[in-house]
Amino acid sequence: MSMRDRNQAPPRVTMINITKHFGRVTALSGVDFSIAAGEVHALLGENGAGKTTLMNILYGLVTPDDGAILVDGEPVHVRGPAQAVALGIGMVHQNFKLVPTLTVTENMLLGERGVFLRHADLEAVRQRLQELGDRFGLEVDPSARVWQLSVGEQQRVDILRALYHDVSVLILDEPTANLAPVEIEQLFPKLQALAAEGLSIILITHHLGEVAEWTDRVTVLRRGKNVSTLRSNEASQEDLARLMVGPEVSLAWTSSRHTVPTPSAEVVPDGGVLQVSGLEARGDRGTLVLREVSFSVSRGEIVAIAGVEGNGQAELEEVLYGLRSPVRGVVTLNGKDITSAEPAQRLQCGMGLIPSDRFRRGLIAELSVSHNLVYDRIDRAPFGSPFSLHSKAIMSGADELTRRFGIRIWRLTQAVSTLSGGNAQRVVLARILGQELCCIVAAQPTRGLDVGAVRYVWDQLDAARQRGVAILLISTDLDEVLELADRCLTLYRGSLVKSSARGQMNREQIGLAMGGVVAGGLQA
Amino acid sequence: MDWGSILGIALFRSGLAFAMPTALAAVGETVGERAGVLNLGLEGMMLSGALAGFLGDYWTGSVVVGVLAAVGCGIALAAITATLSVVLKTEQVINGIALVIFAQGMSQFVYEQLFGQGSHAPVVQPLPDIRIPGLGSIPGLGPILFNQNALFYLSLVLSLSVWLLVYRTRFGLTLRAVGEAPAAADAAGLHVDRVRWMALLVCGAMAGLGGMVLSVGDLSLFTADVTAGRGWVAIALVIFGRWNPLFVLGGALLFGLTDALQIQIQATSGGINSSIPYEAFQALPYLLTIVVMVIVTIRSRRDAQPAALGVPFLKEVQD
Amino acid sequence: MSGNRTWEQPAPVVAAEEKEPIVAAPWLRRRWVRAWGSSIGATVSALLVGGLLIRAAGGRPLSAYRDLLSGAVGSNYAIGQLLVLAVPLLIIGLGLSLAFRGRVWNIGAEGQLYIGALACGSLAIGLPLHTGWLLMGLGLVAAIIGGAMWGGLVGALRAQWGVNEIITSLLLNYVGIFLFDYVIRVPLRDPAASSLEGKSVPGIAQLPQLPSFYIHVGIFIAAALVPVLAYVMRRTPFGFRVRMLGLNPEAARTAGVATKRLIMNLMVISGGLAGLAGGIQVLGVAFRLDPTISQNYGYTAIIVALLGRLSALGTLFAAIFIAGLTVGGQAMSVTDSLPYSLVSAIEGIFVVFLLIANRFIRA
Repeated sequence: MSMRDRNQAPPRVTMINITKHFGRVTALSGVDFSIAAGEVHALLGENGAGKTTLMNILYGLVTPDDGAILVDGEPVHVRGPAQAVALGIGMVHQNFKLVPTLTVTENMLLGERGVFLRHADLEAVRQRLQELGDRFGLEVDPSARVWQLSVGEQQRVDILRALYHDVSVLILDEPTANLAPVEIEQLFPKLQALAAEGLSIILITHHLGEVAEWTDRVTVLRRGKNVSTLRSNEASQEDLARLMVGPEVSLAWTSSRHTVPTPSAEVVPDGGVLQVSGLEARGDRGTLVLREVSFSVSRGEIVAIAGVEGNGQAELEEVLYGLRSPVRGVVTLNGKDITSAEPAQRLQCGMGLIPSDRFRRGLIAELSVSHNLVYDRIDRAPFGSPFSLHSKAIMSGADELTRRFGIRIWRLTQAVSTLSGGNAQRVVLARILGQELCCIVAAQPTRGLDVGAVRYVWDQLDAARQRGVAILLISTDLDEVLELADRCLTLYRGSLVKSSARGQMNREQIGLAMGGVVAGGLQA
Repeated sequence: MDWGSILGIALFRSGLAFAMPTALAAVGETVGERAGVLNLGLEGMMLSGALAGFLGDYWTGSVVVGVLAAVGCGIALAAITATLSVVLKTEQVINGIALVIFAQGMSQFVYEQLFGQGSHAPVVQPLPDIRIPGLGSIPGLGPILFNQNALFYLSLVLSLSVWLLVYRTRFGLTLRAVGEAPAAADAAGLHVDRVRWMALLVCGAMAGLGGMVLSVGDLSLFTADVTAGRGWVAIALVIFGRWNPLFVLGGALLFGLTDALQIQIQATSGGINSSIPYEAFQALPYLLTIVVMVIVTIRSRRDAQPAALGVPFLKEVQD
Repeated sequence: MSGNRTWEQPAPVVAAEEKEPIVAAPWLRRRWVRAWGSSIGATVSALLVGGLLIRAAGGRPLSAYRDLLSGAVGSNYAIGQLLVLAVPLLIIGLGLSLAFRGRVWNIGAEGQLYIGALACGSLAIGLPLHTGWLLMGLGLVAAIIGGAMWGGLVGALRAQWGVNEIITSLLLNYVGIFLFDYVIRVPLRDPAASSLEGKSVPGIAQLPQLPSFYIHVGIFIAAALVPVLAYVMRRTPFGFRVRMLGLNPEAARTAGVATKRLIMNLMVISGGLAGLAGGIQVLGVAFRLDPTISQNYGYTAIIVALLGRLSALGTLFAAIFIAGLTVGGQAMSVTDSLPYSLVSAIEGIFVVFLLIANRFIRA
């Protein structure tokens, strides 16, 4: 794919002046975008910049309010995914759109015409999958059920599904979000191979490193507008970062500008506030997802569990908080055995959870902000007694917390469902950090948040640490781990494979450990 | 009690015949639940179908008209349920219960309007048994399976076809996808709500037909309480059969046999003088259903249940 | 209900608005206005459709409704009948409102009523006491315990193993009624009665009546429960936790709510209240163990709870309304020679309209 060729060819897809409103929020405003055949194009931006919305419009999942789309020079109206695929546009979403209980082959057939599911049909699909797999190095077992596959394999299936339908444009939404560094290394060359065959590849990402290395051009979106389209080799990471967040915010992405949190003077190497030993647990499929996990967290210390999503973090979070029973092992809090205690008891002992799934476990969307701020202690002073609720106290307490944690609302009684992700996370933080707790488990606390909100969360966790709270941070974000942790433990396939203290934390090594590569060879 | 005289051919014959209504409803409900819609109005659909089918046969003397009426009635009620559950997306549990209350009230009203509350209840001609040549002569199995009336054969064929539908057709694949991962189905270009609509209509049609098989095929009459909870048992059977139409059918047949058994025991052992009160036998099928459902739920419900069951599908707004 | 699959992202919720959205008319913003408005709308629509049914049955809607009204409130006797019928509907309805708030679907109130009645009647008949109020009191307590245990069985299955409570509670209705039938047929049969009836309850245990109003004191029990349940639902941590359970059980559990125990409690409480209603029917209305102590009250109470929007005050009004409809309907069926099942039909239509109206309550 030479520069010469690309300059001659007309753009494969052109999007002109795309505008989209969701209610009173403007997601996209007059955005232009184009990509040529054989080009790898990155779509860069923060959370909420509109990248996914733009691609959802191209894929037919969302209809634009204004603007036009041209495919090979012809104007089209993409009314749905089926039509998008017919036009040669395929999309691989961040949360794979695969049906877990069906086999790979059956997933390929979804949406196809026909009445009967004959053995011959399935055979034909299997053949095709074999061909595509060989051609592009995307091997997968066609008769496996999707839930049995690893995350990386599932992504391969999703990509294969797009290729199966002979797409000429492939959109990938944050493809590396759920992959180990090793798997990431394997993915990009495959994408380049696809581009070499003439496929146009659009990569939605917020990882600057990926842009420079693997793409030809990059378009930066900010707050729904296209702020720039450049050739990847003409932009530095700093330039791109500035374009992403805007000049008015003086923020750098590298940690050198961010104040390194001062280690609390009181890191007392005692038995630890939270102690976990020999923890083993099974996942929903019955397989062992945590093996012999042992660690401890002391007062005023942030211990981070780093790792790629899907290596046991979710189950660890659940076991620590009593939402899942371990097969073996002991969890103690300040010396008290809480292994089989219900979440209620953990709270009473002074342990709080910032859950990774904030709307599923951390908030009740239909309830008001004020209620969400206090709902785990409404039967205690000052918010209530065992037999009555003290509404005035609840309102004033909620008011104070809202102010303290900067939650942007127009009324305390508005439902939490009307808040944005960042704001809602502030509610969760306010509820947990607004209490006197001795230990906090923070799972993916900044997932899906924009930069400002991320900084805020980090500040709050750091402040808590300085107050002497023992914090266990479970995070898939390596930046976050490097910024906050006093100690970092890496989780891979359910085992803790590496441990590093603050001074020695090396990004590359931890990244490798996340992918199972530890000094001395591959683990497990 | 003389078990020998009880466990005879007659028992199995009537057991299977009485199992068919529940089987149809249960298999129909499987289709609906596989698509992710919980239809608790099954009892009401069966009851209305029982009435509609009975009236159709009573007025025209034609069983075919009865079948059309019953199926049509079931579909109409399913359409109401679909409007509530799939279009308006209100709480599916409540919708189902409301539909049962509605159907019970309306069918009682209609029946009493037409026939009054007098003691002589109208009946239809019992359906003649049709003996299938060849197969009907197999010792044991022959008289049980192949010497029944037309509605019995229809029910058996339909129930088995549902298994084919779910596992061997594209529609079945779509159904399973929609009930398991509606977001994935949506992204693949399938219309989730439309599929759920159709699944509910199939469910309603089968439930309505099931009601008619009960009133016309088995009993030849209609009363306000003719279904006696069979619709609810059918829902339990779906769980028992782990959402697989074949196992659900099997469960329904088992239930039917238990039902027939308790009637036989009452008849042969003499109700008043027997040491075991007859109410115990009446309660037996219901107790058994509960016990079986508990056992199945404890052991493995989570894996088999369609993941999106009972959850209305809302398109996500992505940031 | 879904498992914990690692590739699923948290469901994205609609992004925040910068300013408060402007609603059509400010007074529509208040939830209770919408709630009452839709209830009234559904009621009126149902009555209109009911009028059509009356037409179809050969009657005249206006005069039929007039007779219904006079049959319900036209005389002291009528009002008395209305109130007596409202008692079980209200008591059961209150319990169901509470349970439904937590999305614990107790459909077994009918069976719980019968078991409660059984316990109460057996005790009142069998216990050799001679103090009226003591016998009465113990009888009602037995009724509550009986219903509570029958409901608790369902609750235990749901709480411990996640067994669907709709099916189990409903199937137990049949079992409970069969049990009741057996007891009045054999152990506690009334030898003197010509038809199948249970023994009558000793006079001293019968609830005192207020003859000029044709009602029994059970009405005061029912009335007293309204403010109690209202307080529990809205102003206690328990009531708040029930609400949390109903809205998001996972978040509730993470927040420290003992969800299993709560589910159990809800079944026990609603079962106990249904049992109490059964006891009151035995001691205050039928004065014997009679199979007709309940005319599907357990199921009608579901309509009452839904119509009352799962609130205590709403349930009170709903119970009175449905009772009026029933009593008036009985009178109407006699005077206008319309089938009584018309009322059931109207109630059924009513519920469906209510659900459609429900949709408009959500913001």
